Amino acid sequence: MYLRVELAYRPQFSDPFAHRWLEIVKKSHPELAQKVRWARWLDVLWVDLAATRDEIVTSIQQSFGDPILKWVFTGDLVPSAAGASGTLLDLMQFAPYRPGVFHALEKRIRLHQVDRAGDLALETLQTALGRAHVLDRVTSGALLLIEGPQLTQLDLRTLAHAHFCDGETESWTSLQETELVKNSRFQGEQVSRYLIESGRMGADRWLEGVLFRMTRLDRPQTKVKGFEPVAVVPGGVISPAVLRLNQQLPKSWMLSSGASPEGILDFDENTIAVVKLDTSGSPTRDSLGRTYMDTLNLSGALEWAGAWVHGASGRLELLKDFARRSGAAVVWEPTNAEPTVSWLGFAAKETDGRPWDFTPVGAEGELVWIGDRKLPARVARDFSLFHRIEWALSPLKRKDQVLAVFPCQQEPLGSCVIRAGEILDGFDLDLDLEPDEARALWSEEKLDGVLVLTQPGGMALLEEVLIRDRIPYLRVGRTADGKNLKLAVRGKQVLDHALSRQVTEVSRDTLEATAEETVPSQMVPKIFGSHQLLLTEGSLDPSRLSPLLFRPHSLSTTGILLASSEVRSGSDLRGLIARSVGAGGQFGSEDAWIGVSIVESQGSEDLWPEVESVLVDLGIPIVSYRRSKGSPSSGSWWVQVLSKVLDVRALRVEAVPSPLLNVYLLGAGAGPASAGFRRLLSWMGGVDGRLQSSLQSVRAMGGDGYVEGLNAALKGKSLGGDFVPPQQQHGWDFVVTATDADRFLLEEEWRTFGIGFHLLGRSNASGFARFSGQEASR
Amino acid sequence: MSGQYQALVLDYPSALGSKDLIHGLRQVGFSVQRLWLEDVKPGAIPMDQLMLKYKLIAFPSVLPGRVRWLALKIQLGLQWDLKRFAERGGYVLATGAATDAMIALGIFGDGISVHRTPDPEREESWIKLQTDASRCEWLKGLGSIELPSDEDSPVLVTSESSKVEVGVRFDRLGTVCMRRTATESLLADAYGLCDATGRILATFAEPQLAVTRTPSSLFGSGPGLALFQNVHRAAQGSG
Repeated sequence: MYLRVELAYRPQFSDPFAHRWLEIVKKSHPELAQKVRWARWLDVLWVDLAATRDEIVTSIQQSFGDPILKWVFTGDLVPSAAGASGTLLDLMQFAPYRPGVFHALEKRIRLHQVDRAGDLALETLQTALGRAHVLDRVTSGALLLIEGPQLTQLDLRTLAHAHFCDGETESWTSLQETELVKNSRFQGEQVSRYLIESGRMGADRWLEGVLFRMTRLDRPQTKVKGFEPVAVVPGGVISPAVLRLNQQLPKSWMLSSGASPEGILDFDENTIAVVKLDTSGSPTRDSLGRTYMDTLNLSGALEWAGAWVHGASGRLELLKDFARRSGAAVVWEPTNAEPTVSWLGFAAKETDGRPWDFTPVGAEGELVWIGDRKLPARVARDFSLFHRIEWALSPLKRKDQVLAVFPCQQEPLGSCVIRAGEILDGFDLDLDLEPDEARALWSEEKLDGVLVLTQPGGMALLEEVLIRDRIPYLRVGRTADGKNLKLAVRGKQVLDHALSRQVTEVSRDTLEATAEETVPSQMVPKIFGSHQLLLTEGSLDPSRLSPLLFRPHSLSTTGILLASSEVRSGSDLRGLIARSVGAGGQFGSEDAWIGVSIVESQGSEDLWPEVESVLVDLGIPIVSYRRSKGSPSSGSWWVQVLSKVLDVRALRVEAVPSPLLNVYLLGAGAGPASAGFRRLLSWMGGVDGRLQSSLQSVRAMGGDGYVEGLNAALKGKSLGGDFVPPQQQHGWDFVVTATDADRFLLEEEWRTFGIGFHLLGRSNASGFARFSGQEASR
Repeated sequence: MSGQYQALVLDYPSALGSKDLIHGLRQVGFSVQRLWLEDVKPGAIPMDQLMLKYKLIAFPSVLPGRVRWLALKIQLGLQWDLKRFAERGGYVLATGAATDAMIALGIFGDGISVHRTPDPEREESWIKLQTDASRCEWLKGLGSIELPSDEDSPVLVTSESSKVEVGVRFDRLGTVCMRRTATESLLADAYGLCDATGRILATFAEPQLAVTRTPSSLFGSGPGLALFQNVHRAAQGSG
């Protein structure tokens, strides 16, 4: 959960920090000090804690709450700790000149600077919580609230630069009075923008420095550590003239366009090796307008998104050398890598500013393939699977749990592993695959996904994240430092297929393939977790909900929810929309937009009137529409419902999460069905009402009856319950659950908004749903 | 070392004067153990063991920014109840801003806090204090005492609504046991607090820095040593 905490001295107490600041200003800029009539200093923390709201409220009160001396502003999270209005207005009212003209300067610790106050706050919060989570973060800063009608923007800038913000280690911004009296800056989305990896001296500092200089310098030449001098040509893209100029330079020189943050490492007639900074997060084309060739990713710091070296063919040593100097991580991408896949390779390793050492990466770890075997790449992209993988991996990469990422596109697992071995100077691999599985995966099946090398202990965390995000994965095996790719595969059956032609071909050049054929086949371990369910064909559910982050690189958690399914009737579509809204998609206003994307297969024209009627009824636009020849199966429509969600981590679950919850049916209620359904969706999507977040689970029923919907909701955790069936058997859209504490408020709100509801009963752990005393086995 | 009482000096980041505390306590006859707070796992030293093993626990001063951290570490990390420790005959000393942590832990009751005015240019100074030994076993027979203080002008504050209640309570229990000499009000002048048992002393001053030093000289025993002697004598008396 993202939150912002502001700590201020209560107005009846003097503010020593503001007082000291004012004293300093008086000495150096007396003319400005005269314009400042009043000032208060607030400590600000941007916090991301993996904890529930209740836990966070308690830990904030324990960590920062001082009922005598300080106010804690949290944007209504802990209203009792702030003043009467819970905003800075409470503080402003105590300014001696009212109504005054207020300004605010806000600063925060810059990326990769050591943030002692943030670290201390994090440790305090974690102590209060009683546990620490690897993904918890806190960044610290301050807010200076100033009153002075004569202060201009220029004055504020001078004050900020001279006496408030240390430009080297902190960044600053000014806030308007209107922003100060609102609480929008406390919203999770806003807070997430500020949360950066703090507390470390940055990995890839050198690379960052180079790229920074390449974007900023307007001088023709400057010196940059590692590659010097760097020739920079200001303005424009790299032209043929620049290319010619490059030919005259020694190879370790880089030539960059200045405006376009790229540097050429090396090139010949056919290929070009370029260091490229891409701030949008998705590389598209190189500076010459060419699409991707072989690519070696040199990851930059996260906020710098990454750097690419194109045309890596035959230049592995050069690029490794570059990586060593830059302290960057290396990810190799295949020739046919497409942009969507290639940006999975960010920040594969934090090097803490140390030179990149290739050896330890290959030394020990676990190799995991992440992707969905049964989904073609195109569909996987539509499902946003790659985005989800990227999002799931990024925090682990920052925590050093993920050592390297190797995108794998339309190639067998074997060749992907061998490429990984080549990049990492070889490793031993204990392959943990079932013989049958291995045969197909290793050399036959073309896969789309990523191969990930984790720390030896990183697998558990990775597994947790992948299962949480419902991303299919397969544990490939354990690696050990071998300096040579030895596939020590246990079991002869596996071995025959593992040592395919590709392995030996590569091995001739750089690697040495050995095999241990001594272990009998019955010893082949079967290390499969819950992921196997996702990977087997029978269990693959083509209808799924996929949260997609809107801006993964800013760590914003506002996202799009994609609910995809085959649609064969208007009620299927209605159910799909309900499912999307039920899970957390917004509905009912311009901000809370929702749209559908349709793939229509041949011979399915008859469905159009039904689809159109549902969409017009609900006022949902079609975002994209295309016809497909083969897929999905003839006569059906493949529909994605795209809806905005404010925080993808707050998505609601479909399965009833625990026993002893009140189980309700929700329906359109009285009046015209479509108007009622719209009303219900508006409430569920968070546009009307305010208690949606207290629902424990929401299961949309679509075309099914409520019994099927209820059973499906209970099945997830093998729960049961005692239920009283409703008199009205049809017209129910959702099965929802609520705690006893929220129950009556929710019922009141449903009545207010004209939403029909029926209390079915309470969930229990029996595993059976009983209706009015009759046992209905699930 | 048999027959010696064990004292525990907690050490933590930004702690001030932990070595001086150890030195002072050893000088009066305690056997002292120093424990790095961050090395102690939650619940590793349960209360029963704490009370059996140690007669005294000392918390050296800490940076004001770490007050809440220290309080939470004691309460939730170590899971120690210092009031119970004192009720069972143990002695507790908190110096400097560790006093704030004791206040945050509620050892001296609710409704008070400490307001500080940090001054980076401020240097250590000696401050003259009037002691009230009617309850506090640390201060027996000291009368007026001069101790070093490295603090940022700490002042006890309370809300308007509870000012009277806190004043009456402090007066009744004799909580304020050290005061600055220029008397204005009880709370504004308070420089040391003592709990109802008389065994927990929390002072904004740094008595451990005055074990070998006196206000006028760097030689001879300092006034701080008298506190440690008092408590060692009291410990012997109580058995």
